[in-house]
Formats: sequence, structure tokens, C-alpha cells
Amino acid sequence: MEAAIQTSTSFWVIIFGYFTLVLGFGAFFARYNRTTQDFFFSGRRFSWWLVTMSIVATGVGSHSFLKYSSKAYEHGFSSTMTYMNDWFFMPMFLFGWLPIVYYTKIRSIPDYFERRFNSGVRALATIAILGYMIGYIAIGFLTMGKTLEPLLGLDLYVIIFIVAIISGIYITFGGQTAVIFTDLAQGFILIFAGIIVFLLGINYVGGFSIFWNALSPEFKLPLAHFNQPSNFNFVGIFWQDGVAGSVGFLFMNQGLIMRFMACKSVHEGRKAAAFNVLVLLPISTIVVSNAGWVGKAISIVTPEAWNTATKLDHVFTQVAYLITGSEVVFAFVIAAVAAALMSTVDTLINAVAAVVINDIYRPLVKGKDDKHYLRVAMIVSAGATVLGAVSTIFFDNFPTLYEAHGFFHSTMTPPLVVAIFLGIFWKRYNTPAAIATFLGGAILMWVGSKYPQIFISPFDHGIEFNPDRPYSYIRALYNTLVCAGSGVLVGLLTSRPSEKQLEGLTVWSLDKAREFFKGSLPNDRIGEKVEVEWVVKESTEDTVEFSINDMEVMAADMGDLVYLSDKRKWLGGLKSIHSIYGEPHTEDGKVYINQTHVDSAMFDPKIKLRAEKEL
Amino acid sequence: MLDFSRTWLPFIYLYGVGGGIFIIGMIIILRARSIKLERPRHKEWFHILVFGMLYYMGIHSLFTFAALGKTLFAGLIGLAIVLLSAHLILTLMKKLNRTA
Repeated sequence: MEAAIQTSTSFWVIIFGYFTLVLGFGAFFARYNRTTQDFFFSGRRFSWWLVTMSIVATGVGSHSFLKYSSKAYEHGFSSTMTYMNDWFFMPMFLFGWLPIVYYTKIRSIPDYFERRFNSGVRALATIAILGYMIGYIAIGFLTMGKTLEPLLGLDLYVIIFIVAIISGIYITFGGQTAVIFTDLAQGFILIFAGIIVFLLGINYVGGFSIFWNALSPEFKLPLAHFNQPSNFNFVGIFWQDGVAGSVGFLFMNQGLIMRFMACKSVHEGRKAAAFNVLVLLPISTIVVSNAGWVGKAISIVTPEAWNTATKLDHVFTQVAYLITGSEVVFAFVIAAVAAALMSTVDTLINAVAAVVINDIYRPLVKGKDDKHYLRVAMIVSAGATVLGAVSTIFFDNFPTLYEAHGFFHSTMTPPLVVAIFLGIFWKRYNTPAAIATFLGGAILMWVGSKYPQIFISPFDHGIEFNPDRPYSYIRALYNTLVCAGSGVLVGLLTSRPSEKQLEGLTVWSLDKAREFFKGSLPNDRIGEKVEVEWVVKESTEDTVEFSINDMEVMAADMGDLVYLSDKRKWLGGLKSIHSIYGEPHTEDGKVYINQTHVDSAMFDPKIKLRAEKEL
Repeated sequence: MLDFSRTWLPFIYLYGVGGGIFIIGMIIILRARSIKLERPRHKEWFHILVFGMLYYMGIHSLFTFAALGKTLFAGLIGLAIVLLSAHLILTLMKKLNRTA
């Protein structure tokens, strides 16, 4: 097979140089992984801005540049729909699921199901979530293969094999801290790369007004036609992506949940999530879609420059090649996109390892030391990589990545999404109801996919029936309703769980969750942060001692939880610890900490610490 | 052909159904006292949540008007979004050093 786009050696030198730099960056921060807690959750220490930038690389990289460029080229600005419909669920996420996950200190989403229901439901949730994440990894690998296909001219599966090996090596040795830091760098770089493509593209067509006027009003509308065509319509995509996809990504994506759990507090997690949806998603949607809009403008303004035989999934690569004008810039753009895709895959591989270790292996093989579990986590990471690469065969059958992803969301997310939602918000939802959601829902979903014209068509909102791919998107509505219906029906017909059983596990008892997290009643008095010098004490007790006056400024009492970090804000909490306020002293501006604190946070002797009360 | 199904019906459906989901979410977290309006930090979050909804409605309506060539409406909505955002950012910046 011959490469559709010709490249020279310097192109590949830049690509490999970029990857080496990113991998080196991650490896440097991997030294902060000392336990499985660090490997998976980074010790709950990071600031919101660091986490939110790393989320960009995960979210954008997952399905984006190729998938949205192709739909943007075909359908215009409505390709942004999927990034612009996440706010509806933010109240439930910020003040429901996020604090529950954080305060209950669950290790994985199935862990929540065991605490809320029982081990049987946990097993069902584990199967569902592993299927979801392996599918996501497969789509990531497939996207990566399709990005590089026109450049390498190699067989798609050979490319996937190479990419899988690189990803596997990186995540196996890096862990979550390495992923967060490489994602942070890549988050900035890929937004920069996407904006460069947009600016160069506008310049290529002759300026913004030529670009804007070349596109039809229909092309520029931000939402698609209500129910036409069957492969891209507003209502189907609303239910598939706005509901199943958004909730799936926010509530059941173990990789994303682990990012929020790496935040130093729930408040920081909320800031990370809100900033991501309000600021970074609108920017990201332009970043990932603009190549398609520019491609359409080029095909209208300078049709002789546009290769009409370009496959839809190759629109991004084709546009980047046309407009960059320099191989160095083109190589940078491709490297940034490829690295972003890698971020998504790496996050998910790490998440699969977390689920397998915490939900399958640890309950079976108890009593081993942490190093043992860390070793097994690395082996599982490698296994997840292989499984993800093999699963690409299934998704390659769809006409475009967008449709593959849409089908995947519509089918995989509803049972888990419904179980999580009803579990958090409906106190009456019990174990038989949760089992009914998974099993009854799965059976009814299968019946619906077998006889779509009977079962799904009542919900089709007028979308045309396509016999080859019946109701790819709107099936999400049917699937969600049957899963919810099964759970609600059984919940109403069986006895409600006791209040004691639900303490701290639903939105109705979050105060209890905070109390369990702290070990005593939370202290919500308003205080301020203080800067202090640190001194190492002899004791090994996990307490830190401040002066009486500093405690007053922080509005803290003995036994409250405290967060101490290097005062340099740009470190984002990398050098930090959580501890408990001990007996106060009288030396203002000084804190006594023990050697374990110093070793764990790698505090610099010359740098002051910033302290704040947590709870 | 720019008929109603292509222009405003998706917008109405998005903020009708999506808005319903948002309001239900707000009611639940208020009734569950997961968000407590007497706590200053939570009150700020309440405002941010409402702002986010208006912000997205603003962006979608701005681009719909702009695509239809109604630049005056689009400009006014854009201005409102900028003013609301600036107000929110300035308010939050004043309270950066506070905890709890």
C-alpha cells in the first residue's frame, strides 16, 4: 500500500522526538508512585487547573480530531453539538456523584456498587465497565491507526500493533501521576495545535470573511436538523451523546473519575469539572472540528486544491497537510494529535488496571503486600492494551469512527448509567432492582436490537429507519428507558433498603459521607490559607502541629483534616500531603511535620508550605 | 432549506428536555441538602450552575442568529455573555484565599 501523503525523514524525526519528550516527561513524574494508591489516584493531591488540563487531553484525544473533522466537513458547525451539551448533568455530578465518590474513598465504580448493593451487583458492574473501557480503548487505537494510515501507507492493523506496544510500555511503568503530567503538557499542546490549524486554515482560504461567507447558513447552524438524515440528526445525537455519552463520560468513565479523585479536595474537583465544561469544552470543540469546516471552505473557494477522493475519516490529516505549508508544522500537528489519542488510551488502560486489581484480583488474592499488587497492575495494563488492540476489528466495520462511537455509547452505557443514577438519587432502589437494571435491561435491549421496528420505532422522533444500521443513535433513548423501567418496576415491587444501609452512599446522606471521610463531624467554619515554615519532629504520628494563632486564621480545631503543599502554586500540589491537626503550639508561622510527610511529598527544605483546612 | 426543524426546533428540544434534566438535578440537590445555600461557597456554586445554563443557551442562540444573518441579535447575546462572565470571574477572584 502506498502512502497518500508523502513525508520525509525529518517529519518522522519530529514525530519520534515529540513522543520521546512526552514519554520522558511522564517517566520523570512516575517516581512519585510509591503505592497502588499513588499509581491509580496520585495520592489525592492535585490542584484543579492541573487536573482540568489533563482532562482535556483525555476527553479530546478519545474520539475527536478525526471523528469530528469528518462530521464537520459533512454537516458543518453542528459537529460541535456533542461538546456543548454537558451542562445539564452538572448539578447531579458536582453535588451528587463527585462528593460520593470522593468521600466514600471508593477504589473503583464497581466498588461503589458493592457498598450500595452487594458483591453480585459489583460483579455485574465490573463486567459492564470493563466492556465499556475496553471498547473505548479499541476506538482510541482505531482512531490512531486511521490518523497515521495516510502517512505510513502501512496496513491499519500493523499501525495499531505498533501504537499498542508504545502505549503499553508507557502506561505499564508510569501510572496515574505520569498520565496526569503528560496529559497536562498534551492538553496545552493539542489546544495550541488545533488553534494553529484553524488560524492557518482561515489564512489559506483568504481571511475570516471569505471563510464565513463561503459557508451556507445551513452549514453554520450550531445544531443539526431535528431528525434527518438517519446518520446525523439532532434528536438521535442528543440522546446518544448528550444523555448516554455525557453521563457515561462524567459518571462512569473510571479514567475520568480517577482524575477527580486525584484532586486535593471535592471543591477542587468541582472547579476542575466546571472549568472544563464552561471554558475548555467550547474551545476544544473548535479545536477538533475546525479542520472539517476549513476543508469545506477550501473545497468551495479553491476546489482545485481539494482532493475529492479524501475519505471522511482522513479529512483532518488532509487539511492539516494542505494548510500547514511546512513539514515541521505538519509534523508538530500530527504528533500533538497522535499524543492526545495516546493520552486517552493510556488513561483508560490505567483505569482498566484499577478495576481489575481492586474489583477482581484483590478480593480473590488477599493479604499480599502493596508491591505485589503494583506488579500485577502493570501486567494487567499490558493485557488491557492487547485486548483493546484486538477489539479494533469489531469497530472497523462501521462507515466512520463517529458512527462506531455512537453505536458504542448507545449500547454500552445505559445499564450502568441508569444503575449509577438510581443508586445515587433514589433511596428505594435496592439490590433486586439493580440486578433487574443490568439483566432485565440487557434482555430488553437485545430484544430491541433484534426487532427495532417494533420496539425502538415508537421512540424514533420521525427518524428514518435504516435497515443496515437501524436507529444507531436514538436506540440510546429506548435502551435507557428499558433499563430504567426494569429497575424502577422491581424497586417499587420490593422492599426499600434501610436508611442505615444507605448512609453516605446517596445524595440524601452526603453529610454522613463527609463525616465518615473525616472520622468525626466536619468543621465548616470559614478560614483562610496560611504560609508556614516547616520543621521535622521526632514523632511518627500522622499529625501536624501549628500555632494557636495560625489555627485561628485557618478556623481549624485539633482533629480536623489539613492539606499542606509547597507554596509554589505552579507545582499544582505535586509536593503535598494530607494530615490531621495535632496539639497547637505558640510559634507562629511554623508547622511541625514528621519525616514520612517530608519523604512522601518531597518537600524542599528552603521552601515554605501553604496550609489550608479541609474539613 | 432552513425550515423550523432545521433552525429552532432542535434548540427548543435541547433546552426543553435538557433544561428539564437540569432543573430536576437542581431540585434534587437542594432538597437533599447536598448544596446548602446558607454556606457562602455553596451559594457561589449555585450561581455558577445557573450561569452555566444561561451561558450555553446564549452560545447556541448566538450562533443560530449569526448563521441566519441576524447579527444584531447575535451581537447583543454575545455582549450579555461577556458581561455575565466578567461579573462571575470578578466575584470569584475576590474570594480566592478563603477555605470551607
